[in-house]
Amino acid sequence: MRSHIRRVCTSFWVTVKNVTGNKPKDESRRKFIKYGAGAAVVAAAAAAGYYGLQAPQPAQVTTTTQQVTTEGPATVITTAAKTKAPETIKIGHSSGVTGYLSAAEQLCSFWYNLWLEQVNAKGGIYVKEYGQRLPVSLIIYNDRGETDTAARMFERLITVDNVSCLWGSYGTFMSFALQPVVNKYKVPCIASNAAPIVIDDPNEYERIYKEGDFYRNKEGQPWQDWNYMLWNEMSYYHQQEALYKALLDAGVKTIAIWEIETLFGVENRREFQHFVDKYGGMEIVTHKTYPFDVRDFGSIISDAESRKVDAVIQYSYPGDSWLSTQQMIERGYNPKFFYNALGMCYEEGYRRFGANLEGICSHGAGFAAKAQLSKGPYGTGADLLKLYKQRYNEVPDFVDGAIAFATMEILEQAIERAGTLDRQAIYQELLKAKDNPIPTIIGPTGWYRGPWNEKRSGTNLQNQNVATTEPGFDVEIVASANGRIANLPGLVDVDLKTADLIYPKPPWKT
Amino acid sequence: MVDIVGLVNLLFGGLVIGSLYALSAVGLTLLFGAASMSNLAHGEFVMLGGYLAYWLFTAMGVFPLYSLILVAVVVAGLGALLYFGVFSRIYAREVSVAETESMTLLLTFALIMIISNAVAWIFTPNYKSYSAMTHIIHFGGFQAISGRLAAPAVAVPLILVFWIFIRRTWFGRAIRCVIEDRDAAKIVGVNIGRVFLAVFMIGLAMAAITGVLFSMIFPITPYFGIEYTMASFVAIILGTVGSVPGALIGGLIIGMAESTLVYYLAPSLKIAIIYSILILVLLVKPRGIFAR
Repeated sequence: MRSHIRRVCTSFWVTVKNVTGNKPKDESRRKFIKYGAGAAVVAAAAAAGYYGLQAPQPAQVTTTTQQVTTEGPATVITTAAKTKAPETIKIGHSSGVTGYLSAAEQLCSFWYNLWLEQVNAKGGIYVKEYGQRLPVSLIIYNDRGETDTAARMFERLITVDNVSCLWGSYGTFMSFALQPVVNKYKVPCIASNAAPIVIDDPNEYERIYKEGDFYRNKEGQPWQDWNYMLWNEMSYYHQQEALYKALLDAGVKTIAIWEIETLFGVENRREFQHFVDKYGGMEIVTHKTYPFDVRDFGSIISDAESRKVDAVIQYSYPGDSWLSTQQMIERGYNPKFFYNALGMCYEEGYRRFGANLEGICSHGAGFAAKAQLSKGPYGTGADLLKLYKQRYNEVPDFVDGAIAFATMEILEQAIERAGTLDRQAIYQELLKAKDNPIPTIIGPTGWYRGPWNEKRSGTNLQNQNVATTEPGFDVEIVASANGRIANLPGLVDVDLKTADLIYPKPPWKT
Repeated sequence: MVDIVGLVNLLFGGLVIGSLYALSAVGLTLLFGAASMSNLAHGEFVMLGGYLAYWLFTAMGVFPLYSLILVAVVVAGLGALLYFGVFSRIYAREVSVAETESMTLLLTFALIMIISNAVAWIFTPNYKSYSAMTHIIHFGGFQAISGRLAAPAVAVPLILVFWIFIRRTWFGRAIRCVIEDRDAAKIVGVNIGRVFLAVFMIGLAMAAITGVLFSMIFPITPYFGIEYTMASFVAIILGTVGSVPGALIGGLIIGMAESTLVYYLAPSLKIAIIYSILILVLLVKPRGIFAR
């Protein structure tokens, strides 16, 4: 670092001298030193600033090391403790702690920490190899939502921090960027808040899913032989199938699509378009993409407004969701159907929009009180939502949090089942979950035909909205329920599926 | 085709963005024209103004319209400090205008890093926004929040007042004289140092006011400055370097072009549109539309 700055300073001063054409003379030595020092300070500051912008920063490292207790299973097997146990079990993560993905990441971090508190409160995860419970440390690096930084952070977690397993950065495109790294080092990783798109052709995915075929790479290898990244969300196919059916039921004829330029936006839209093209009943009359640092939706709103579309479907992340909704309210543009993928079911969404959420449809999930399959080591989904509210005094989200928590439940149980911190053994336990699903608050989880968490008819392997959803409706289309949540904070065990779609959407309450 | 309300919305959107570009561009054209300062960090001062307004509102409860004055004064003071501490030493050298421009280019590049990193360190790199001036105003079928109306309502009159100041006052004439011919200005007794100081203070204050107006409407990040620097450069090249009405017209043209072309093409092309205008201007009218 020091030599880097010195090199930059030297080259900067040489450049300055070349630019000014002034060569230091003996009689002006003092002057030269004075200006040289000044320029060096500026250059050093610039270099430091530049380095600050470019260099990966382990901005947030959470290492929780609680006292190991001797209660519970730790006292059951003591003869097995032949090897010296590590102080903690290290689980790694890299994510956009700052930057445009930070709203989502911060929310998920509440859930990771909630899990960490729970697991360490009982002494950690029981590891048979050491015959005791070991507390868990989460090592989290800030990748600022940049794929290249995330990949470097993952390499560091694997090679320097020597973590036992990983979970991926928030965002589909981030997890896809990390996939080659985990495959290279063969480290099990759960792509937590990200959806898989492993099939390029939606028709092909539909065929695989319907015919019960298995996903293979181009060389014909089955996925479990080469893919260490396992997705904890289902593919977009089912989510968009649900949305398409909701639109069809409502009688929507014309649609405007607003799409964020990330894999999440592209793939959601592509899957949705697959249903419209193949099964008809409606038409996509305009389709606008926008960058993730968008600040003004004015022209996009004008476009949808002038075409008088029935429905606006926005494939978005939380930040742009809030911005577009805010600007629609300001402009008084109120389509009959408004689907806004992420952000509306967040506490921040409730706070910003309150009663204006009434009628907005969203990518979300809820836990019915009767959802018996929603049960992990720390209770049901509804239990956890209540615990979240108790712990943070905030209304929980209904989209990302549950998946984040379930990811940690999966990793915990995979380690416990493996009885060791060996990466391969943990991965093998994850693969075995297809026959012996891992219980979580989003339902028993396993991977079968592809690296995506899937729902199989008859086995109740489900992703979200456990036990209350019909096949294909893995993700709730939350309509009026959102408004109710906003008005009734704390009512977390409502059956969101029972909320009827409000069509047309009510006017904005300005 | 877009209907009347849609068209009004598009044009109004263009006016809002254009007036912000114009105000920022006036500050830049002043610095570039009078002080040969290629201020690559101009957008960073816009950004800094936005963050100061954000901080004044969220931490101190200062209404953004009052922040306009406070922030302008603070950043003008910062401009004076920068002038005395750094740039006056460059101007003290007996070097050509081209060399001064090159030196300021390098120094302001360093300023980009220093300001944006410092802001990111203090406020985090996350998006920040505040909710003020959100009252909705209706005109027939058209409606907008008061914060959006504030941008052209403040920026355009401010530019016009400044133009009158430049045209009608002795000090304004001195600034114009320096823009036209620095050596001649010296000969006729203009205090160049004082003009430079004023230009630094006014130019950067205008950038900061742009930032305050911007923050009333859009979320801010420590890294949006470069976009404003480039838009301002294009605006002053389009409107002729050193010309205040040129910067106003240039800014408004870019804003309108951005708003309408983004509508007909794609929002992702926003930056590409600004750069395309730059290339077009350099090819067709390299000295700008107000060149004599």
